[in-house]
Amino acid sequence: MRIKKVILTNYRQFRNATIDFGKSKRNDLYVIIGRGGTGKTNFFNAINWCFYGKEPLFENLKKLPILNLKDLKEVENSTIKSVKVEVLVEDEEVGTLKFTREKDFKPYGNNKEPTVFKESFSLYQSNTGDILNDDQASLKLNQLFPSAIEEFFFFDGEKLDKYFQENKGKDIEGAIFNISQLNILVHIEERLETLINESRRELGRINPRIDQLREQREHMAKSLSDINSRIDSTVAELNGAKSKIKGLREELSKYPDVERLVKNKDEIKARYDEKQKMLYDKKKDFQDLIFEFYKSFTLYECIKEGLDLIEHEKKSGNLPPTSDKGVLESSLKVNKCLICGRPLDKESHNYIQKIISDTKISTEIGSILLVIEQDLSNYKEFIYNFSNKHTKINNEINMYIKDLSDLNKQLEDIQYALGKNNVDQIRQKNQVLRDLEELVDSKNQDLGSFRTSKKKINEEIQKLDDDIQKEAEKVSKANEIQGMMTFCTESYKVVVKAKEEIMREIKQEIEKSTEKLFLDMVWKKDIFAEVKIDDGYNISVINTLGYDCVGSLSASERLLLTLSFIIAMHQVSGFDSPLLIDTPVARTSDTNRANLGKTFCDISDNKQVILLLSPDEYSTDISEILDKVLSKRFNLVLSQDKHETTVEEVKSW
Amino acid sequence: MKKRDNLERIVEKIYDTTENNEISEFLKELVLAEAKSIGQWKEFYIRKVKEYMKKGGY
Repeated sequence: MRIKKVILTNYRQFRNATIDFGKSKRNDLYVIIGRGGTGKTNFFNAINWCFYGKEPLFENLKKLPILNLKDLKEVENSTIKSVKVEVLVEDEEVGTLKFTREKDFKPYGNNKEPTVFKESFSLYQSNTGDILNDDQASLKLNQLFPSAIEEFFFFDGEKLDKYFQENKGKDIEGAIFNISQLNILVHIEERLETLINESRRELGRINPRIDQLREQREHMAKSLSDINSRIDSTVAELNGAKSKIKGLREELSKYPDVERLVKNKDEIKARYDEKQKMLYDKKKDFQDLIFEFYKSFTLYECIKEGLDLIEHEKKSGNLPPTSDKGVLESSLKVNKCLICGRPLDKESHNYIQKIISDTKISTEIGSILLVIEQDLSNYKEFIYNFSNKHTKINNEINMYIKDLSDLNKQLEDIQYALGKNNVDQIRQKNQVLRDLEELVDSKNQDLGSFRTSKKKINEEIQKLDDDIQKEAEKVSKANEIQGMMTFCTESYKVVVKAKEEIMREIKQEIEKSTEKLFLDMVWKKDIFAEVKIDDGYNISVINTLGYDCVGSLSASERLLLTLSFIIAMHQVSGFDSPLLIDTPVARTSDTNRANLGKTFCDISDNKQVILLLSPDEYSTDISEILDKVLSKRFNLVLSQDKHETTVEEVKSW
Repeated sequence: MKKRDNLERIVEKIYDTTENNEISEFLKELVLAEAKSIGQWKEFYIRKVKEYMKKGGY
């Protein structure tokens, strides 16, 4: 299926334009080039407007009336004017189809806005000559270009890089159902289920016990449906939360772990304060040592002399003293021995006189000398050991200063890392991440409990089915209905299983095909290992280190990934439609752009591809590749007064 | 892959999923009919169920 021709009449700046997509080469590839404002996006919108009556790229924007501005002036002059877009589509099976949407405008009313007089949508089928109008035409259109999946064949390249940032899993799954025609199996499944339920009711009328069991079964079926809805909504919430967690983790991975940094900072600060106190104490010890040393050092000569004297007196036998000089002198004075009380004779008197003259140190002084000897030795020892003590304390002080300097450096580094970032914002994001992780835990628990309930309900339903079967077998009249029910139930099970298996196969094929296309197109292919698509249709790109890096892809890589995915969906799901892309290469450059060009060449080998580009986008990187295989190339040319665009087919390039 | 290949894949999968010829033939007919859209679906389904039940001796 391909677009054969587009005819625009009074649609915005296209007053009278025809674009004929007649295929002239093997590749069904077309390029429409126009500068900003010449109408590329309006051409894109025109096809959407013709098919679906809406202009997607103008949604939520204030816009000029759809009628061409020159014609708008004529409407002012009371002439009814029409906007018309005709799209001719050709298909091997249905021949050529012409879709036409037309809107007639009445003259200005009091509010000065042109008012719509009439709007119509029709389809002309060339092979039968039939004309279908409005709803019938829309029905036929929806079979060929389902509006639910329009974004998979007519899309804006600028929006593609945000495609996987939105939680689109459910939409993608729905689109695959549509374009793989699996919705046929869904219809059959629903209809067989209706027949099975009606058969049960019929059996119930024949056998009341069956009716009772049927009621119970319907009640259980409702419970099953409820629990399935809860599972679906919980899975959706989980996927949403997981997708946000993924985004936040990616985002936070660019920042330092501020929580850890702040904790480290507090610990280092405590160690810093402790070391500073130890340094203060050690400096005080050093001062005390110096003071002590000063005292001892200034007295060193006296200490040394004192110790020498004591040593000398010891060697002379004067120390320790052998007699008390004071007692002897007192004995002489009273002429009596003060120890034994005996009066002194001359000989004793002389003997005591001799002892007194031989005794050079008094007992009192001798005792003092012996007492201070230890102190003097200590002082001497202290002076001799001062250098060791000084070095030891000095080393300790230096060690503390070095430790403090290291700690200070660490504090500065942490402060620098913290200062560069908005700590509050990062902490807020961390908190959101923790909340989301808690939510995921809680939802996972819910999901587990729901799934257990679902299993129990299914077991209950199976038991009721068996009971109904047993009851039905008892009634001969019910045999036919019973047979029908069994046949439909068996068929139903086959449909469900076939549907699930096809879905699983399609997912695997899309995964494989997306990976191949992406790795073929992206220039940094060596850093990417594989592309994964999970059961919720969320995409991951795994790098060679085994990490999911989809959140850190560049805008250009994201565009290539999304385009690979969409092309893979077309290839795998068998959706035979053209691809119309507005600004497909705006966010790419160099090798990526060239690779994208090669991919468009490959796709256009068996699918029509129409690209809308600006002259800048159609750089030599891509034009050198596409020009060789293009079927046609068009230029959009804006008139002098800027109100009309004409389409020129470029004959040679 | 063309649009009709999708239908072929669905039918092929149905044949792979069951060895019951009547069920696979019956479902194939439903798939092809649904692809073209069925007007009175219930009558059509019941008629086909009865037809294939008879073929299969149900």
